[in-house]
Amino acid sequence: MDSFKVIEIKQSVFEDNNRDADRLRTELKEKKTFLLNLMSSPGSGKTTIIMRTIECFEKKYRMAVMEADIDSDVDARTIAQTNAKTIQLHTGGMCHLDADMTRQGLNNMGYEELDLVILENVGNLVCPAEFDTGAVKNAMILSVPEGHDKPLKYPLVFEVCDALIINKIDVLPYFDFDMEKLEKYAYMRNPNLKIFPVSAKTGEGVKAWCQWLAEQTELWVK
Amino acid sequence: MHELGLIIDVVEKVEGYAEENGVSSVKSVVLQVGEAFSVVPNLMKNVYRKAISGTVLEGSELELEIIAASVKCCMCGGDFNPFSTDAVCPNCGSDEYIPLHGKEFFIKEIKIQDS
Repeated sequence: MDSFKVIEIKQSVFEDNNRDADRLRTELKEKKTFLLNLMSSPGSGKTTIIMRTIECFEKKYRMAVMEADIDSDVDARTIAQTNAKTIQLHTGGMCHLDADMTRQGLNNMGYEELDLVILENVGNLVCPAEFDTGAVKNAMILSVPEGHDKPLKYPLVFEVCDALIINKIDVLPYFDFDMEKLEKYAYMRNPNLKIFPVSAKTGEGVKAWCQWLAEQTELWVK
Repeated sequence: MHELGLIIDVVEKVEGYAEENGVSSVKSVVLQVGEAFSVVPNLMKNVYRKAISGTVLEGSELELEIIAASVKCCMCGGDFNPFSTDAVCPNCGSDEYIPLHGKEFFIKEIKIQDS
C-alpha cells in the first residue's frame, strides 16, 4: 500500500502580489508619481469624476489615466478629449487588476514625467478590493441610486479605501438614500474613511475631493 | 469569479515547491479559506480539476478547510461570528466590531508520496 507524507506549506496565495505591490510603490516614490486606484460598480460615475478631477488639476499636475475594462475603449476615448495622457488596459476577462498588470500599464504608457496617475479599475465592488494594485491610495465611488446599504453588503471594498466619493447627490430627492445611515455603515467598516458627497454632473463637492487628492499627491511627491 | 486565477496561483506555488524539493507527484492540496473570503468553494474544486491537467498535481484532490469568520465586539469585547448573528453582537447588541478571522486564503499543506 502507498504511504504518503504531509508537507506543511502555510503560504498566503496573495504573498507574491502583495510583495510586488510594495515594490511598485517604492518605484513610484522614487519617480515621484502618485497613483490612485479608483474602484466602484459599473455606472457609478468613475469616468465622469475623473474628467472633473482632470479639470481641477489642468494647470497643476501632469496627469494620466489608465482605463481598465474587460473590453472596448469607450472610457479611454472619453478621457482622450482632455489634456491627460490615457491608456486602455484590457483585462482579458479578469475581473480585477493586480500589481503586475498595473506595472505593465505604467511601463507601456511611460510615467517618469507624470505627477498624478489615476487607475480606473474594472467596474466591480467585489474582486478589485482583494488585490493590491500597488497604488499609493485607494478611492471608491458609491452613487446615490445604488443605495446606502452597500457598506453592509460589500465590506471589503470600504475597508481597503482611503476615500469614498458619494456621487450623483443631485438626484438625492428621487431616491431613498439616507446619507446618515451611509456614513454610519461606512465608518463602521472603516473609521478612517474620508467621505466626499459630490455631483460630477453639477460640480458640487468636486473641489473638496480634489483638495484631498492634491494633499495626498503633495505628501507623496515631495 | 476569479476562482480560476486564484487556483492557477495555487498550482504554480505547489509546482514551484515540487520542483525545488524533487517531488514528482502530489496526492492532495489543503487550502484554508476564510468564511468571509469571496470565493465559491464548489467552483474552486471544479476549476482545480482543469488547472492541474498536465502538471505534477494531476490526479490530486483539493481539500478546503473553511475558517469560520469571527469578529471582536467594540463595546463588550466579546467574539462572535457575524454571519450567524446578522452582524450584531449577541451579548450586547452592538453592530460595531473589528474583524479577527474569516478572510484567510492560505495553502496549508500538501500530501505527497512517501518515498
